[in-house]
Amino acid sequence: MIQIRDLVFEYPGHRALHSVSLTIAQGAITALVGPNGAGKTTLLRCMAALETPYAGSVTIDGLDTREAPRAIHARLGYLPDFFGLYDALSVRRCLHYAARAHGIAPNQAAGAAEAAAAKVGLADRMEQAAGALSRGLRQRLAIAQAIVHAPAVLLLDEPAAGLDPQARRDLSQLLLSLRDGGMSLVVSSHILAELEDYSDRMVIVNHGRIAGGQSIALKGSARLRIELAAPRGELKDFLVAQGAQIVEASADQALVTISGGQSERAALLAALVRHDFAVSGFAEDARALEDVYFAQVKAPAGGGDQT
Amino acid sequence: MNPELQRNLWLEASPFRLALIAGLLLLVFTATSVAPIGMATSAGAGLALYWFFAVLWGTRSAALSVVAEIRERTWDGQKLSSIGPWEMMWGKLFGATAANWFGALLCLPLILAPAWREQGAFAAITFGVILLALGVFAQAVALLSSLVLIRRNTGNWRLDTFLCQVAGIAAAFAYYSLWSSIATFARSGTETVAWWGHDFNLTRFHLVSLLLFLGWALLGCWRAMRAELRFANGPFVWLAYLAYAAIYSAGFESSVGCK
Repeated sequence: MIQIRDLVFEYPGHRALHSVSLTIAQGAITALVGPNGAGKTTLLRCMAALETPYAGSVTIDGLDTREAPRAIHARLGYLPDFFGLYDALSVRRCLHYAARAHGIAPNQAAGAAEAAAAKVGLADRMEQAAGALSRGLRQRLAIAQAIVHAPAVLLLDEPAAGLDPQARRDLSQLLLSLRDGGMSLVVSSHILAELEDYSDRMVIVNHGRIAGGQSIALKGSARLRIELAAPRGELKDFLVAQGAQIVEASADQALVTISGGQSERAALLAALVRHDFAVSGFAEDARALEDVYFAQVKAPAGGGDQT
Repeated sequence: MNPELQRNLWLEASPFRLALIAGLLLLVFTATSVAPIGMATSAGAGLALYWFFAVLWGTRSAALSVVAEIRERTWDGQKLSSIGPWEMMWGKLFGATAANWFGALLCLPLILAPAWREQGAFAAITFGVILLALGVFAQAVALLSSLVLIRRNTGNWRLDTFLCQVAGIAAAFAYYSLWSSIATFARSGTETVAWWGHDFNLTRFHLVSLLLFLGWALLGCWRAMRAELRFANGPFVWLAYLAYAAIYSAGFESSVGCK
């Protein structure tokens, strides 16, 4: 869906992204996490074709953001971290304008506005002014504006910031329902505890690089800790060859995710033993997502690899 | 309807605001109609109010049509829309200034009525076209300035708006001072202007000059909007404008040389 290749972005006197490469899966929710100033927002803005990278490329559905930014805009919705609304307009007018601005025909705009409002649970507030909505409802309206044209990709920058626990839970449900409707979502967030509720994959951005060089599967896969009694330098390459995704790896231990269930784990263990790896530990990693995050953020940043 | 124009009309031309403007104008014109002769005329008040609505306030509205989007963090959403640069430019230029034009157009009949009575229909219509073009020109210069200024990303929206407003007002005053000098020339018996060795009627020359510069200002707005909306602009239009400005200015110099 989204292919990022060797992306470099510079602000005057500061390189924000260092040769980032990444593939964002279709029909999944990918969480983008990392400390403040790590480059998450810049990465999202490059994906949204709002910024022109210094080098490298971003392609969405095969379209390059530099060559066809307007065609890409038609395929995606974007919610910035600090978004604005036309406070004096009613919810209906905000959505009607968003529909028309995204090229929906005048006779279909009212229907599209109502459908978007229904998706985010604002159908009963159509006549209320945007400025009179609570923080959580404003967030919903902003998301409705971003999805009114039914984009294939939705980029959300810190959508949960400033929301109360109930609003956050509602947001998680909303994101899951959008994914189930076939949309691919990239969500930047600081709130790691909630990521596992709705994210399929996690990408850790640190110092303008993808920590570990790839995204980490959070759903439909197991996170395994493998330990060796005798270190083997080729452990990481071997595990990659077996289809495992590396979270962290050294010569004597690795944290990986593998898709599938018990039989896939058994097959991986058998392969390790068959190739004379002295496996002393092979167990599901019980560490919380935060531990994985902090382990990656503290580790030397990697770059380059594709997920 | 152009969605950007529609949205601006919703925001800027509310029935309450329009009623307020109409009420204010009614009050002023009633006062001038009963004022003692020599104090104020409806036409004079109308002209002053036209300048206020179309130029002084209009340039601010035009500049804010972009600067306020950035201030309110809605500009990214607009850049992601499928509204083309042409639609976006017209939508902002005439939508953000809708209330200004409502007030300005109400003033116009009172300004033109004396000219119609004293100099005939053609003179009144010419004057009307000049006033309308002058208003659009000032607003287009303000909009163009704002589109250029936002690239600097100063974060000081008040200063940015003020500078764009000043640019628009300065453009309008520069032209109007030329236009109002026609009467002085006429009194001294000069009713033509020499340009590239040919004599042109002063009034028509000024009108055509204004319309051409208005055209360039609108073209500049369109191209600046294209750049904002991630369309690539070639250098040829800018070069063509420079060539035009050089040829236009040199036309007066060549006449001086001839004489």
